[in-house]
Amino acid sequence: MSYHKEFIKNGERLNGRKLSELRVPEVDIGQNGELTISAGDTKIFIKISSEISKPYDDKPNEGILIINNDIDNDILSRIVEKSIRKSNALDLESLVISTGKICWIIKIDLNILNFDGNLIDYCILGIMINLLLYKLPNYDIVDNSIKLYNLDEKAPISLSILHIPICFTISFYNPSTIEMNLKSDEVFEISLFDADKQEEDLRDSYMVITLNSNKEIIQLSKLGGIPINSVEVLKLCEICYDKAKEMTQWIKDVVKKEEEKTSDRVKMLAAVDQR
Amino acid sequence: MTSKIYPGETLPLQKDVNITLGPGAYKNPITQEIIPVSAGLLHCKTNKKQTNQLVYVETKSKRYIPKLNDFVVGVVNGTLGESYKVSLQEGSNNVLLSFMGFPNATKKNRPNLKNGQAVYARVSQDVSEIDIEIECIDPTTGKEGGFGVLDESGFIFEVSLNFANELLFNSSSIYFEKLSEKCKFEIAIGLNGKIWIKCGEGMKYDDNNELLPSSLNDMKYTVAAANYLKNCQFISKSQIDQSLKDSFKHLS
Amino acid sequence: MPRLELYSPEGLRIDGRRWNELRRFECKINTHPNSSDGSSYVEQGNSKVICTVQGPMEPKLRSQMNHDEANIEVNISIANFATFQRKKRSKNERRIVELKNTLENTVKQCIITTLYPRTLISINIQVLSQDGGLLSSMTNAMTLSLIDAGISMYDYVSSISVGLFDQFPLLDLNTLEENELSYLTVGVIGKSDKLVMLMLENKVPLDKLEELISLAIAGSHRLRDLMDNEVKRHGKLRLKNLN
Repeated sequence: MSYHKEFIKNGERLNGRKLSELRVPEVDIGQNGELTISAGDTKIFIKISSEISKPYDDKPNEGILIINNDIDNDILSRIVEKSIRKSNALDLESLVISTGKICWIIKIDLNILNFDGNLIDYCILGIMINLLLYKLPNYDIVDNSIKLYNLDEKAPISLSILHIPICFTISFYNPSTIEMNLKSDEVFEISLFDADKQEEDLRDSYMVITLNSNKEIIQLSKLGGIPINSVEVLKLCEICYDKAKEMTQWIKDVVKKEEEKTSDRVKMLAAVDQR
Repeated sequence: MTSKIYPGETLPLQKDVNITLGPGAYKNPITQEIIPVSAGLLHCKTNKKQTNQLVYVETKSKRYIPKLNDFVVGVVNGTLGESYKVSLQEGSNNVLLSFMGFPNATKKNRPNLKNGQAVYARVSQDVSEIDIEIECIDPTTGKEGGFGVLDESGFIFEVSLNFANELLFNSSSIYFEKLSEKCKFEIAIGLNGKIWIKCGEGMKYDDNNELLPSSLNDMKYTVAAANYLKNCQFISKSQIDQSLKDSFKHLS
Repeated sequence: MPRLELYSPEGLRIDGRRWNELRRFECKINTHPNSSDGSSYVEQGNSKVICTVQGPMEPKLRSQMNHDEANIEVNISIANFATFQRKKRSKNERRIVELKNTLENTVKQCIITTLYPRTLISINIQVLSQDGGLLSSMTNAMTLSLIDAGISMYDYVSSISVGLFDQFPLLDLNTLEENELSYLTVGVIGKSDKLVMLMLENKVPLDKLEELISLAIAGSHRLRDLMDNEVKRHGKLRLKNLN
């Protein structure tokens, strides 16, 4: 037994957080499409870039979204795909400039700079903030060829985001034996939010839920591990929904603050131009 | 005497004294020249008789490179032939702890360590081209001398290398003095940045493998002490009292 | 193309079932007694899966050996002709790897792994025909062949998918329904309410989740009984041959 397990058994955590308490993420917004998100020692750099391209032949009405991560983690990339692409968080149809001929291709690159647990949640959180802030350059079509403007030349275009998926990873611990876990009707498995690295190493199972503030579950995966009572799962989903509402508001605040900052800058530039 | 130094500068060495090289100083085997190899604070100390000069550079590095006679806290990882594999730092190569590296060990009588158990040991062989070895014997007496297995009731955490160095060697540092106002503790500091600490009895089990009721409180103190020491790395001396207060705030 | 009528106002689904009806579930165990230690064949509607188990045996590689418990390995191969459109599938496709990991983590919970230290249990799943409920039919086949192999288990793991049509939950989807609806696959241990596996990939209103999960659990318990019948039938047959 370790200190971590004994603490968790008693409803406490070594890092001083409550079982359902999340870390407060910090977002550092750089230039257009560059963002660093960190929580505890977990740190992820997210870069969004765009290019003009041709839609896939089988999907002439859709733009292209590519999500890369640099550590080649299957679970991470599957859940990010399911949460963002499959749920249509980014409206791909709005990326088409000319059906079957020209469209935007949006590339999201995830660079994991430091790991202290819970990559999935913070990747998705960072991507969504970044997508909300991202500006595509404005364009004109002149003689069948496309002319792009600089971002401050002509008002840039924001992406159309249909909803904001929020992801939560819940870690489960079995304080007793396997037999008790399987056969007892009582719920004594301990669930814990936003685990750090050491807590992730010790967990017996985990579940990843993605939902949005419209009370829709976008993705739910519990890939094996110790069985959890269904009532408990539902209860956790409700808790996650409450947290998702708060988180959505938080994201909106962050985005609003940043947009005010940039709009101030644009106004200042305009003033300089007039002079 | 301390000053800033960078690689490529010259060391203020005295002539006609024995020079002891510490971390950050290097003797070129061809030219016999002694040069600094890392940037940081230079420490040059000469003893009273003016016969011996100690030179080392204090740097804030995270990677531990084993040096002969360093005290380290390691975690047993497995066995390889006649030795235990011990991890000194995550992401570094394992070092070897021979079955014979314990006091009174013979072929038949050897300690039985499990994976995950911690040991306090001394680096006995530091040639990086071959496997590095550690042992739990005090070479002057051939006895335990404070080395050996660290029991599971304690808690292991990590600090930066220079802070571990400060804690272990700077007898005038006040961190432990302050901590002792709050609780009594037992500690093993490894120069590899791992520290093992236990307040009171730490994590203790009874015969039925149930946690002793008094243990939980001791464990909380242990973790608070670890948090306090971790915090001390980043603060100035004047903030120590506050940090101590904050770490033990939630405890009676 | 007009949208398929997946659930008629009369309460009938595209293949004539009602909302809480399973498809024809047929299973056999000990189908490949010569080539494996345990084997099974499961048909869930038009989904057809063969599963064979080798082991517990000595692992070929030392790295596959675990001193405290058995090492469990799942291999999935989906035949090129398993779907309507013939398609070559690579083993390293992300989706397949995810299924493989899920199955491995699921089955580890119900096998008493500590009884077989230093051994390897290798489970091979061959999908012959795919008509919805891929993960669930694989799970069910796996459970049966492990039982046939005589490996100690705590209980059955049974699995089923449920979908949501508008407001109505539907049990055990086929491909046509799976393509149109959002659906959830659950894995249940024995006759408990405990979920070992949960996979949902499309949007579902949170308020409907409870209904979906309870329907799925009921369906899984039914499947467990059907599998249990087959195991008992086979057991009796063997006993008869002995005498």
